Order: sequence, then structure tokens, then C-alpha cells
Amino acid sequence: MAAEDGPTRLAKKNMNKLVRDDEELLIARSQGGDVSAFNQLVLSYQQTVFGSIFRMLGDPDIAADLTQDAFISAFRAINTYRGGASFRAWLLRIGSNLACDHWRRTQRYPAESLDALREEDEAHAPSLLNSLAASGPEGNPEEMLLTHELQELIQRGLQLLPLDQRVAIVLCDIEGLSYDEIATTTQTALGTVRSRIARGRAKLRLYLSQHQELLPRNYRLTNHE
Amino acid sequence: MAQDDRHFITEQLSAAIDAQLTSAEQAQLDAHLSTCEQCQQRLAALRGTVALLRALPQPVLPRSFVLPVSLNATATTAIPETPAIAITKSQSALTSAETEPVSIAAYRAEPANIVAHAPRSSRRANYVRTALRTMSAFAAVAGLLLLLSGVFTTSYLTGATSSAPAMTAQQPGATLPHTDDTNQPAPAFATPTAPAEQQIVQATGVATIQATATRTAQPRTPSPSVARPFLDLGTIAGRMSVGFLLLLLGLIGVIVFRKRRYQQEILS
Repeated sequence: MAAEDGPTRLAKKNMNKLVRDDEELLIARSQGGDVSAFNQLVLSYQQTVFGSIFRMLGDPDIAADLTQDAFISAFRAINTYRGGASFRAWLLRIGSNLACDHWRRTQRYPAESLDALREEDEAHAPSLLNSLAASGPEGNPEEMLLTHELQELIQRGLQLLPLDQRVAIVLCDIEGLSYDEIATTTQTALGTVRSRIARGRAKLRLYLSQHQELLPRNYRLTNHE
Repeated sequence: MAQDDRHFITEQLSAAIDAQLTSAEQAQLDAHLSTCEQCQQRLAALRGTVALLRALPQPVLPRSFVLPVSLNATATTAIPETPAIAITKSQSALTSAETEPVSIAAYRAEPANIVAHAPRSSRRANYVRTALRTMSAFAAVAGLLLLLSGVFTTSYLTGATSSAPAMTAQQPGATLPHTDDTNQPAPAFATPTAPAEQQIVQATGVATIQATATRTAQPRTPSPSVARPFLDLGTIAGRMSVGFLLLLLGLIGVIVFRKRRYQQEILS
């Protein structure tokens, strides 16, 4: 079941990651100002950083901009990275800080962001659709549509979560970080991480259970509390 | 067991999914689940939610986010002894083909530690910038108004219209004894010399009084203002000069302290 999927998924995700020693060497070279070495790290982690920011904000264009900003900031601040802690957690900390700042800034002026949304709604739709990778079989358009609908439903549910819970859920369940790494990323205690993940999952379950018709048969969630 | 009868809270069930329970807690949960259907369902629903999240595909990368290799130049200035390291084949291919033209020299120039300290300091810097920008804008507007008032005055007088009611400063300029020294520098803003004091008074209150008083008399001989001091607010040329300077300073200020959106977003 899902519990057993966790470590396997994590291992798969890390398969194409650099060996730890190589990573440390590249970090050391980057700290010496070597952009080429840093770019190897970028290539290894850009999917993770972009993916997590995209899931936190739900907008691929903004996520792309913030991802670029995150790597620029990371290169600038690479000398502040101390070995020992997870480099992925350090990078994601920069990325999630940028995403949270952006979210708070746009939430502070909701009228502005709503206007922007209305104005760019049409233009955004295909962009968002392209970002949601097609996982259904090519020959079955109905299943494709369902998959996209479901992805959008989950994305909407994520965006309805409080920011701290959303960040924890994205890092844990989507990016596969350990609780320790999430604590490092969000600079919180393990207990806080645990509670945020639990509350976020419970809320998301409630939200998704209101749209049972979109859920696959084997993912049906009960409303029973 | 009495303890097995108690339902587990969501946080414990959620932690169980990630194998974050202690072995004792896990044993308790297993024992409880064997008898409690409600907790089984709750755990299954949470697992289902997690499975949905994990089943989400990775979003397609819109582009590569590698940094321009040209950054090497600015980066190595910090640590000059760093040797240039040969780039591997795949790396050179990627960096040459996918490098985005992002100007980063400005970011690199500032000291780092963005993660911990940048938001607060950059916010403070933003406030200062905003204040300076606003002040520059005000100066530019004031300068423009002065300049325009000078232009209109000139056009009024050269047009030789019969009434010139708004020309408050010009009329007393004709009636009051003025210093005719062309070389006197900036008396309106300089240390108060006798003529300067006179002009300040003239530029503020007396000017309007004089204007209203002389409205009936209307001395319509506009004295040529070429001989007036450079920054004399009482003369058209002086006002226009001050206006021009203010406008220039204001515009420079606005340009220098203009919004740097991209940078702001990164640092905040």
C-alpha cells in the first residue's frame, strides 16, 4: 500500500541524484565561484525545486520565475551552506521561502491577484495544463480528462490548505522529504512537522471526499470520522 | 487491554503512515486496529489521500534553470585563486544550449545570507527607496510647476495683454528696488544678505500684497529680467532656473530610485 511506497519512491527519486561525495565536491567548487559546478547541482535539483514551488502555488509561470530566482539566490548564498545538513533541504528552504513570500504578498492584495487571475485565466489554462504531466494512456481521451481533472482537484485542495500545512504536505508527500529534512527546510521542530502534515492530510481528505465522483475506484475515501 | 480501546488521534495515524511511531506506539496501534473498524477506516482514508498525492506526476519543466557560465568572471573575483576547472562534455552542452540570459551580476555583488537576513533588511531598504522616490517625484512636479509658471508669465507679457493679474512676482519686481548685479549668486537660498532678505520677503507675502495693491495701477512695463540674479524666485528667469533644477534633480532621483521589481522579489 501507500506506506510501503514511500521509501521505494524516495529511493527512485534519488536514483538520478548525485552520489553524496560528488555532490560535496560540486558544492565545494561552487563555493569557490565555479558556476559550471553549480549548474550540475541545478540540473540535479531543478525538478525538485520547480515541482515543489509549482505545487505550493499552482502557477507554472510564477513557479518557473521563482525557481530561477531560487537558484540565483542559492548560488549567491552558497558560502553560507554548511555541510552535514541535506543540500536538497537547504535548496528547498530557499525555494519555499520565496514561494511563501510570494503567496503572502499576493494574498495581501487579494483584489489585485483576483483581477490578474481573471485577466489571464484564458492564457493560463493551457500553460497549467501543459505543466500537469499526462499520466493516462494516450489512446483514451476520457481517462486523460479524468486524470487532469483529478490533478487539478488535488492542486486546488492543496491551495486551500493553510500555507504551513501546504508546505509540509508538498515536501513530505509529493517531494518525498523525510521529517528531519522538512524540519530543516521549514526551520521547525519535528513535532510541529508531524502535526502540520497530519492536519494537512486530514483537511485534504475532507476536501477530496466531497468530490468522490472524480476519484479512482481504488482511491475512494470514506467520510467516516 | 484498556489502552487498546482508545481511538488514535489523526496525528498518530498520519505518523504511522510515515513509520514515525515508536515501536511501542506502533504495537499499540496494531492491537487497536485489529478490533476497531472506525480507526481502520480513518487510517485507510488517510492512506488514500497520501496515495493520491504521491500519484501526482511531476510537472513538466518549462525550461532549464542553469545559470550563465559568464558568472564565473564575477564569482572568481571573490576568490581569485580558484582555478578554472574543465567542464565535462554533458555540462558544456547543457550550459551552452540552455543557458538563460539572466543578469546576475547585481545579485552576486551583494553579500549573501539571503536565507536568514535578506527579507528584513531589503524591506527596510525598500522603504528608504520608496521615500526617496516619492520625494524626487514631488521635487520634479514642483520644478515643473515653477517652470510652467515662468513660461506662462513670459507668454503673457510678450503677448502684451492688457491685464496680467497672476503675475505677482513680476509686478513687485518692477516696483521694488532690486539688485541689478548679474553676478550675485543664488540670493534666495544663500545666507541672508540685505537684498536677499528683500527678495525673500518679496517672494512670499509682500509679493501678493503688492500685486493686489498695484492691480489698479497696473504698471505694465515689464522690466527685462535678464539682469536678475540667477536663482531669484522673484524673477521669471530665476523661477524658471529653480524650476528647471528641481525638475532635473527630481527626474534623476526618480530614475535612480525607481522600482527594481525583479530584485525586490528575489530578496524579499
